[in-house]
Amino acid sequence: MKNKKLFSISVYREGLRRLLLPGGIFFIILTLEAVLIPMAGFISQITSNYSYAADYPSRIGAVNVHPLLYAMIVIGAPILTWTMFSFLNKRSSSDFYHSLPMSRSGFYISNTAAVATWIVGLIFVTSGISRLMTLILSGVYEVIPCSYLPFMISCTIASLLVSAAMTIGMTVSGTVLGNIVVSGLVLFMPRYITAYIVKGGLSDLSVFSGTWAPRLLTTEINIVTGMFDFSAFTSAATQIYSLCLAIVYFALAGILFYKRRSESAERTAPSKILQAVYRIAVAMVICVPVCCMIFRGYASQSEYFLYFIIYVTAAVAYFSFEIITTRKLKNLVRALPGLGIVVLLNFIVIGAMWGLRTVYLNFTPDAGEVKSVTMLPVDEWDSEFSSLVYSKFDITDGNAIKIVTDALKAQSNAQTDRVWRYSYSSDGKINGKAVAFRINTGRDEKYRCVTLTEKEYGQMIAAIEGMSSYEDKLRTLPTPERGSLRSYLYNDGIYHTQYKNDETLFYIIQNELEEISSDDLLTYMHVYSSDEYIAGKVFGIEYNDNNQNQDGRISYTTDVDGRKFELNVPIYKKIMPESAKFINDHTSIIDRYNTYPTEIN
Amino acid sequence: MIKAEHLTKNFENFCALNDISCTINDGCIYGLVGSNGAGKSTFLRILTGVYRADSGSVTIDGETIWDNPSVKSKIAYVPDELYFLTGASMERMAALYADCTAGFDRARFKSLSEKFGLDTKRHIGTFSKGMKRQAATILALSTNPDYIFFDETFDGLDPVMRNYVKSIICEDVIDRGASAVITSHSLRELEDTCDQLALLHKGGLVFESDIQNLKTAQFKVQVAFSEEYGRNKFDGIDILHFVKHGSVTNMIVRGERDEVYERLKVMSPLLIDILPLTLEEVFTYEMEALGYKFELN
Repeated sequence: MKNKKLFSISVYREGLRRLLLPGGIFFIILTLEAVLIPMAGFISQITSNYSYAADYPSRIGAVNVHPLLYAMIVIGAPILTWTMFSFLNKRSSSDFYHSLPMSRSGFYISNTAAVATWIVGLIFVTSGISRLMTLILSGVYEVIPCSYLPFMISCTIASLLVSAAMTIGMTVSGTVLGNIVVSGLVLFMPRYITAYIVKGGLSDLSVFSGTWAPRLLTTEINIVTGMFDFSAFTSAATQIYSLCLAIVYFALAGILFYKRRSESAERTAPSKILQAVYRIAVAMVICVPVCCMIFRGYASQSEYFLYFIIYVTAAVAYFSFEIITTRKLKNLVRALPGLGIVVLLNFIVIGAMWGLRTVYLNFTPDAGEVKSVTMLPVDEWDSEFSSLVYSKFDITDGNAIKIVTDALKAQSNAQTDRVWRYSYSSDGKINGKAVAFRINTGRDEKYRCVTLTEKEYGQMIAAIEGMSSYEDKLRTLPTPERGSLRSYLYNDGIYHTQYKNDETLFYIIQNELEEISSDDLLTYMHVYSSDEYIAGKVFGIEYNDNNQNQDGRISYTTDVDGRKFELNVPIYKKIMPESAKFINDHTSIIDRYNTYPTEIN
Repeated sequence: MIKAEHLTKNFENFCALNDISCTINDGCIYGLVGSNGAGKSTFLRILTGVYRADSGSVTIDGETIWDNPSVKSKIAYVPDELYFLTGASMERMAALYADCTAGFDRARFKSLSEKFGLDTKRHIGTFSKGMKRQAATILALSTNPDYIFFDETFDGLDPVMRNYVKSIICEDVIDRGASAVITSHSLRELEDTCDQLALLHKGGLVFESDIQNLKTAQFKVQVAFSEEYGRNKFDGIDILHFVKHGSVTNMIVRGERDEVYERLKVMSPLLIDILPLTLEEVFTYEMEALGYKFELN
């Protein structure tokens, strides 16, 4: 029996052909960009100072030479998908395809494979062209090789996810407006609601840190909603989760395609129930932020009025959607009961915020139930070296654990407000420091923030310093993420970037740290006492209490429990002579008034 | 054989088909006539697996049609609203059909295209409306289908092409035992092609009969007598319609023509004339008898 199979090469080929026009246009645009951007950079470099540029080529990531791949996600994938399945929006074309002697599943899979082929092909082929260009222009360009693959994979997965959401939108709606609305709801609504539930339920709590929120509750775990956070965009966890989500969405679209009636063409929703669902979802997009505000307890007269206005807006959107999509005034009356469901959903969302908050606050183990605690950077902007060093130590000291569990209990019960980094007394002095902890109960690990007093903080540090591996771990720099190293020479108050040998420099610094004396090590990692800061033995390595200036530094990104943190490691000639010499020898100073480099002595 | 049993199809609050049951035997050309919105196209779409009935069943050779590629590969369907791949020529469409249907006959496609005078390499988008319909017909017939479904196809063809297509259909029916279902607004169009005729009205199948039967079972009788007479004079004759002007009566009679003639002749009429009816007249009077009053083209 012909064509009763799950994949048809002829339909697939026809699908590839059907996408030739939009795919071809995108290919031309992406190829032009892949060629022109490196060329433009090359021309810019050589017209400023070729010899300098040749000796010190720009080191950049793939995203800098091929940024239009983002356009594949937001424009390319939707257009390719819409072109492929637009036949579902017209009666004549829908009837034609449904009359062909093809199994529906096979038809769907073959066409979806054609879309996926174009997406993958466009991204990988044009990225190959981009890489080729940067190799040709490698005299003045140095694109970090390992930056290409993660970026390409992320763009591919994001594009596939958008395509999958779009396919769902097209199978359950027969008009362009319906396609866009449903696709948008599928793609963004779950994360949107989750983000507001987290924001409403947790973000004001002192024991909560957005950086350490459960991954599945963050917008960054979804590669599309987290697109603008580049480190999240290219992280393995985000890629895996988003790929699984795309597969689920494609499977769901396949089921819906199978069940779809050809007569759904030219109708926003194939049934009254789905029409109501879309209407309600559109209204809920507007209502959800208000639920957050209501739950957070913003209750002044101006806020009540604001809530009223927003709810009226939601109702207007609700009825507008109905009138625009059905063009029947009498449907507005029929749509009235659906508003009751919107109200109910508002209560459910608020209830979800309350539920999440309750679950979060209920985690208050006793000290005896905790196996270890680990200090972590409090948020992604916390680049204090101490925070990153301390994250290597799992504290098992009972007293230290008790400090954490008691603070957690007190702050959870009191539901104290969030502390940004430090808490202040009434006279403006710091009286507490927010610290994130990974709390290991043996059964699971949870992340919480607590605010420690100066004394408590000192006790935690003492517990760490008492560990046998303390000094060894101090001497070991956190591992840099591939391709993230940057090194700088500090001269006349300016940081001058050197473009090569970052990894070599890193290893020289690492070796020197392993060799220097304990006193020098602690001096290097010691902060000067100040009323402005919590006194602690190891605070940062950006300041030196002998008032010696840095001679340079390296910066890089490191991973702690799957989160990325920026770290700056300063170089001091006094204790790291080889490192200082190396960076001195390998960096040219660019006179700030002159583009030509001058050698320093 | 196509068998439909208690088919019902609704679109929101509108009942398009209401409890339709019929059987279309192999080697039959089945005509389906009805006014706009009667349900003809909907019925055809269900028969071709485009729509799924809300209740009831429809089978071809004992198999359901919905999502059944093996049955669909036996079907050729030319809908009222045509669709072609964007920017496609007849060649490209033929390639698609050939990929989907095992029985696609390239030689027949070429031969029919030549007879219709269509350039198979030209973009179908540049064709006139009639040429598009011809193209669709050629592509459908080139699949050598066992079941041909034409939805108001003849209405878009010129008289010469119309007759040619009819002859091809008849050839397929005779030579290969194919069956055809043709819908039209026009009874005249179907009269000389179809074996069976059915009338759809407001989603219901109100009338179905063999064409030969229809044509011979009813006839017009014109009779005149010198004496005064009334309708009761013709008791025993199945009269569908009776109009008397003076001494002349025009009647639409159902029955055996010879038998009725003999009965009337015995009455010694001044005038007796038996005339055949057109199919439209047959339908009109049958519907009147059933209590329907509406106009056909």
